[in-house]
Amino acid sequence: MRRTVSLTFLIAAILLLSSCRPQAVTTPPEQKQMVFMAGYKPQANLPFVGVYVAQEKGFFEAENLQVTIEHSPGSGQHLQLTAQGKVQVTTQDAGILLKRRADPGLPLVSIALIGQRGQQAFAALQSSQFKTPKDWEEHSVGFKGSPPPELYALVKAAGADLTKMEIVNVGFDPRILTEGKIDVYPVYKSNEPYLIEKWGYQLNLWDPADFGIPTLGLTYVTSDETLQKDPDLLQRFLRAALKGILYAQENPQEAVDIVLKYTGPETDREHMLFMLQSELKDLNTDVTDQNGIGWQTAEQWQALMDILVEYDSMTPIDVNTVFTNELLR
Amino acid sequence: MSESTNKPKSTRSLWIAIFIILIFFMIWEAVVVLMNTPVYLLPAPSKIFTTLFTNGSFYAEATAITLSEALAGLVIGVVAGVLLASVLVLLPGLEDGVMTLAIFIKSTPLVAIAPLLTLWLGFGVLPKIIITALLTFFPVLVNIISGMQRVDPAFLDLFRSWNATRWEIFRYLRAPTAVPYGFTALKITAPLALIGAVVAEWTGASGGLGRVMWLAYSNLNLPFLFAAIFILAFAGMLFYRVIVWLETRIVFWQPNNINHE
Amino acid sequence: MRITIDTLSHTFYNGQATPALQNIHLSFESGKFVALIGSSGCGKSTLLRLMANLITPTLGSIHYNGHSSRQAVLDGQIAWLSQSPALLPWLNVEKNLALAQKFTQSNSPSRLSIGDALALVGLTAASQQYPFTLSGGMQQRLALARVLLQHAPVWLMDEPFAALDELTREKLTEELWQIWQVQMPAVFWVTHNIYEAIKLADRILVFSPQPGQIAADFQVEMPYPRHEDQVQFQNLLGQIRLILQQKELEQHV
Repeated sequence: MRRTVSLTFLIAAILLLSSCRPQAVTTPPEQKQMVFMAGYKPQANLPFVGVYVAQEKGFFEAENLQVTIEHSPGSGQHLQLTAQGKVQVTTQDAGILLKRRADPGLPLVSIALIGQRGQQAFAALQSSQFKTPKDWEEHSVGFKGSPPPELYALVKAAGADLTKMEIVNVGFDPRILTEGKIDVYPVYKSNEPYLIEKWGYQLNLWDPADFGIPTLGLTYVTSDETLQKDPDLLQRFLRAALKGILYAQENPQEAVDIVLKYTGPETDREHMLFMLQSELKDLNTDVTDQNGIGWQTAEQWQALMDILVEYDSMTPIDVNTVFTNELLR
Repeated sequence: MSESTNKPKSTRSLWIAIFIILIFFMIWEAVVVLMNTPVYLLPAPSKIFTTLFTNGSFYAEATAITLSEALAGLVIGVVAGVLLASVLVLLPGLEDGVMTLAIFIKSTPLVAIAPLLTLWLGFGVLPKIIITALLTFFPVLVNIISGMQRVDPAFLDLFRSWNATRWEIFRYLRAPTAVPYGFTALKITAPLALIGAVVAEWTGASGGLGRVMWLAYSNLNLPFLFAAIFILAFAGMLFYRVIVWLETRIVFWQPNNINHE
Repeated sequence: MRITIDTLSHTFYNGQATPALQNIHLSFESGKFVALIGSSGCGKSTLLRLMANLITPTLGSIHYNGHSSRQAVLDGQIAWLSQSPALLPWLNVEKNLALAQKFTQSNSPSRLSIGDALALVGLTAASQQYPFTLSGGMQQRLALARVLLQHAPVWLMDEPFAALDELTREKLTEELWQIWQVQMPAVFWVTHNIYEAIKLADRILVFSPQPGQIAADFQVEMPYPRHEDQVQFQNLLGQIRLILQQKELEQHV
């Protein structure tokens, strides 16, 4: 009697387990189309790279997914188009996503956190001989757009006095640092340092994360509506794109070659390689090792939001509305 | 007034122009070399030209896109301007109302409209053509109306003594009078059309010189940026020259005072 | 064709009322050459424009064979010539004349061809040329050819030779007389050149200014062709000059 029961149980278990086996290996039956819009011009930001690689290596095709790749002209159109549903997936910096969710209330949600740490940092020329942010006192510090909370947090964490610094709105042109018009300049670790060093200047960098300040990087973003109406589409997308990122991690040179297909001849290969390798450094954490790349936690988002709220960058919202891991399972 | 007396003069002025441009580039080159200016601040003309010719097909493709946007927009703007001007002259009661609307459109900064159009119509050429048409339409409208209304009163007296109808006066007198004014408008709007296409591309384009400029600038690749600028400057000059040439042929009854003694 | 002007007065209203003409009574008929002399600003052009229905009089009337001036224009009875030849610059001579013919075709009983008209003014060779290549005198001749094509019974001419140099004027005055002989319309000729008037006109009206009125009305009975050195010519010249001077003085008092 016990034997029969355990045998039945075993058979049932096997049947149950086999029916639960994920269908990742087989091609989904129905072809779907979508538009992916990179949040900026073609370059080697990690989420972009994942998509480029997935396109060129046939990962999208394997998911029976036809993806049209577009690029934002850089004025936030990608967020508007995604909110309208004209674009299914775009990319966005986590902090800005939070802010836009709060005001004006764009119904956008992060479906994967690629940059587990943000790329924002502050740079000064080595010739300035600044060692810590305390050395920034009596000097000028620049910001792009609006003063970033991580600047205030960084200064505070370093025990420096913000009122003794001249905070200036600078443009998106790093030459302002090399030409000596500003002492401290906000950079993306994966971008400007390459150019500035290529021009022959050495930099000192201060990373907010080193001071315990939470920053998050780029995410894949979709709209609430698309998430609700067609999660299968998004899942296929993510599977292929994340596979593309992992591929790029293993084959960076080939990945860069693929990126160059999307950029024009004005782009420097070494620059793209630098960008890719920089961002790859922030792809993996203990959490992603456990759950897979792109995984995001409420703690991460909450910590980021708390900083933004503390420095009046946004009003608080429920962070659970801003991200979801359901497509990553 | 024969063409043969004009030819040596115009080819000579062409050579002079080329000479001046060459001197300008040589000075530029010398300055960059002597002051050791880094390429990301001001590239030397030699670098710019080599970049341009090494990437010939890349620039050719971008130029073709921008030029076609500009030309299409120009044609639409001109046609719309001429048609609307004609209607306003034939039906004077409408003039005030329509002109108010036209000025309203003209005063709206196109850099604000352009992104909206891109959002509605996508990243293809259509928004660029519309922007360019909006930009070129107003000068044409104003100039053509002006030309149609500024008919010599002596002609009007004559036509009225002939019992000419309003339409006949329009067709035989006002319309031809407006043609030289149309060329004046074209001389302004043709280069403007190029600028319009480029600016429209900055707000979202999949191709074209404007996009090349934006990409080059955000990569701080100045030789690429300047190469695009050179092409645009040259194209603008070419447009202008073509229009002047057309003018001397079509408005043959008004001697072109520039080339005469 | 009989033209009658009755109690004609005209006032311009441009912020203030400016009386231009006062109480003009006049009549004349086909075959008569009437010259209107006066200094500038005495309303001569205004009178002509009223007669051509280019303006409507504030008071009085103008009749062509009993019809209004408006009707006369509608019937194509009036040929207009002003100081500016008004040749369309984008059309050559032939096309200019053809255009005029097109507008006045239905009204002219006789078929004067373009070639005939050009021959009458001695410009057959110019038919393919454009107006801007022709001298002022030639252009006015063409304007005359255009008038001939219209074959209208009334010619209204507003100082057509005023813009030309003296030699050309003299020549054209001579030619005008000959051309007039071809169709013998009623001509109303405004000028400030007394010589011209005496040379050509059957009747000379001297105008006094502000408001315009007929100060004197001379019937000229000299045979054609007339010369300045003729006694009658000089007499008439003197009389007219006197009147004009008197009116000048009166104005300044």
